[in-house]
Amino acid sequence: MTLLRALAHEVFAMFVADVGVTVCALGLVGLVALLRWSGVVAPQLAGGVLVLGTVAILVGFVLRAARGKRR
Amino acid sequence: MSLFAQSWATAAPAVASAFTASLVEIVEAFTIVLAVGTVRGWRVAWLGTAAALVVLGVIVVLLGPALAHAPLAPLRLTIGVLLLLFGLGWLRKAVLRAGGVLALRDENAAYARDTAALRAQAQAPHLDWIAGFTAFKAVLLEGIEVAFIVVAVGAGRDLLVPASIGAACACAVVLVVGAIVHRPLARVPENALKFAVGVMCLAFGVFWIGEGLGIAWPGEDAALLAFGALFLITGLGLARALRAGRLA
Repeated sequence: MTLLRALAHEVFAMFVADVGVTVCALGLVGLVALLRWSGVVAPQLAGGVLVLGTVAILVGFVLRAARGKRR
Repeated sequence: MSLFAQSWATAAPAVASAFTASLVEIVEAFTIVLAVGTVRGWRVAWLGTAAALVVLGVIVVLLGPALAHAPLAPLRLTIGVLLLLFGLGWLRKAVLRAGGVLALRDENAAYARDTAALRAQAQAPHLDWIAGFTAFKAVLLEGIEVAFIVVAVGAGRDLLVPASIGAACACAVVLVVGAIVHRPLARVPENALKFAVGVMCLAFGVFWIGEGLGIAWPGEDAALLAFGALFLITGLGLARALRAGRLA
């Protein structure tokens, strides 16, 4: 059971290193999927939202962590 | 372009990603196996490692056919999301380490910690099993990450074999170098490798999510390189700004 728990924790930690990052990333994918399937915007534009949104999440959470550490 | 060149151009990113990511994970597992081997003996270290590799092999053999029969678009979307999460986590930490906000991982310190913990146990035969289990757990846990990377970069485009070759080469490199130096591979530029893996995973993740959602990326596979360049420049820029103290 200890090994299974360690395995489960390891697999979980691989993808949920930070809950905020995970929530934002999943939200971004949901938004892009909505844009793509609703046909509101062209597919390439939805792709652009995905790319720029990923950059924004990376920048935002790096800044948040840096400011948190330096306080 | 010849068929060979086309195949290599398609397979190269998968091979490189699998090799680099596997290198990081296998170095971490090697440190623990080295500690077990040094303190409790190589027989238990190798037994634990071999047992973990057997379990990993069974997992891959069972999952492989399942992935081969999964519908392509949902598979790419799922793998893309997992790679996005994995890549964001790794790249964020690698940037913070490169920027001096977090400490770099020290393989020598990890090795010292592991050997101290093993030596603190009483000298009893049955504790060889505990040491062997330590090696087994380390190789299994790091191996699962390797298996994920291999599947993630290879499953969507029939590139499981090239990705597996990349991972196997990384394993061989670490084992050969480790056997020669017989100490923790502390000089491996771990954070630089994690930075690179984070960039590659993010690039693959975004690419697969797009493919899974039916987005036709301009330039097709060349878009992967563009994404990689974008995330690399972003990461390096952030790390540089952190070091210069501009983002306090």
